[in-house]
Amino acid sequence: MSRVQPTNHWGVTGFLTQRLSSLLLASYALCLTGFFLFATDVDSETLSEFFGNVFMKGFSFVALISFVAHAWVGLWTIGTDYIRPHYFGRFAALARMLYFGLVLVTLCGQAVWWLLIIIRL
Amino acid sequence: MTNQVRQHRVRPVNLDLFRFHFPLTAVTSITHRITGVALFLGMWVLLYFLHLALRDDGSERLSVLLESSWSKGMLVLLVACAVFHLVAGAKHLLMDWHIGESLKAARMMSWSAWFLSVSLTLLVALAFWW
Repeated sequence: MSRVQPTNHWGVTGFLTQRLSSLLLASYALCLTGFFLFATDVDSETLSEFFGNVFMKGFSFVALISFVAHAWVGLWTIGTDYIRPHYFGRFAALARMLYFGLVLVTLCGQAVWWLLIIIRL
Repeated sequence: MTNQVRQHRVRPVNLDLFRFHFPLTAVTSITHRITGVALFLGMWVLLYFLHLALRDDGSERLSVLLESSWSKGMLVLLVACAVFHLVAGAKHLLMDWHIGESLKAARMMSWSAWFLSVSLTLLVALAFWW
């Protein structure tokens, strides 16, 4: 009996990407929480000062990359879990392509906006 | 070979999800997933808030926006999703390291994840409205 071997080997990469980006995003979230917790007066000025700091700009960029990677792996998993012929019949392949396309376009849009916010600071 | 493939194709699948009673661990897992999707979509909202907050002419619009309980509720909801996703993700990482894999430990960690994220969210919401 022959077994069908998977032809692509992105599984481990996706697994590790998900873990690494989760740690980076968690530290970014904790950093922001710390700011909101200890800032005495949160207004436009203090926010710009905080996010405009060179370190925070770099951190925001890292968080942006992590978010896109993390969201992509997660949403890819969801797509392959639910958009299958069992639920979608013969439209499964088309529906999955549409879904992946929509996810990619959305992530690109969010990345561009996030980048613009960082650059404009 | 062909025979086997055919057999695989017709194997019965019975997954009527509405007939299941889901254990707590499964509910935690699916909520982790749902909050992830919510955060992906909610990122538009978060970016809009950040965009307004960091622009000189945006802070006025932001303070008007934050007066409505709709946008406040939206923010708190997104915070709730983020907190739950973070806590459940930490649990997930622990289980990657084979910590808490027994049924008893997994149930306890699920309860803890819910307890921790609900109380943290309540704290954030209280601080926000005070």
